[in-house]
Amino acid sequence: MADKLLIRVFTHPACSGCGPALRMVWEMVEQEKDAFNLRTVKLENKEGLQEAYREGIKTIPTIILSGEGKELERIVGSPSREELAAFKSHLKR
Amino acid sequence: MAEIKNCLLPDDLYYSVENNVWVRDLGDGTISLGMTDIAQTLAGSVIHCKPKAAGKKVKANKSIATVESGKWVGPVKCPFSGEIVEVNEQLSQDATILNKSPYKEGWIVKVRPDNLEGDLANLAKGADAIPGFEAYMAEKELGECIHCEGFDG
Repeated sequence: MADKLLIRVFTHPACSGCGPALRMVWEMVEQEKDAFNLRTVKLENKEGLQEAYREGIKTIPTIILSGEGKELERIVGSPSREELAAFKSHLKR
Repeated sequence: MAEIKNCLLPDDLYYSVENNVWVRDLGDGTISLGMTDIAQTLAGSVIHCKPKAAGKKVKANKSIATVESGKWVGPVKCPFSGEIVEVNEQLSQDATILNKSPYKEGWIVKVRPDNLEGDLANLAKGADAIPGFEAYMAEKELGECIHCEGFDG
């Protein structure tokens, strides 16, 4: 198995769509624990906000899939099941 | 709609940059007032908003409401003197309206200013506020505004 891919979910407590988006991602990661790492980036703290600026994020939720230091996929707004499932196409099994 | 680093500034509103609030002329001698997109971004998720009561007199650049967010508690200041004629009761139920819809649903109070024309003349309208907010954002080290999906600017 290759290195795990990283999924970052950018969230904020005032964002009504962020909780459901995070749950959907978490459910997928639970099914593919050996393939994905999940990290929540919280924009209510300074570090999270700075990370969001660096990534050019203007809308939340935003979900970024990356591997080997490169961004592979980005979903802006609430994800669909199909969009999230497309993350699995990057797995090297 | 004027925009600065993804922060929205509707053209029809007046702005007090130093107080980081917008003012809408309601055309009947009163104005509504609220936090700008920049202010709500700086504040983060707003937990409580407690406006002063209708009927209260306010002085220029004094507080008309206290806002508490996850990382900040502070006043929202009215740029001119007058009387509060109405408060937005919705905010006591859900203060995150200030984050979601700062310019529409998120008005905080309506005020009857003592000198409406003269007071509005001292504020910047629409895009004229951009240079002031640019400097303000630099001072506060605010890179960009980030909006929740469904943000109603």
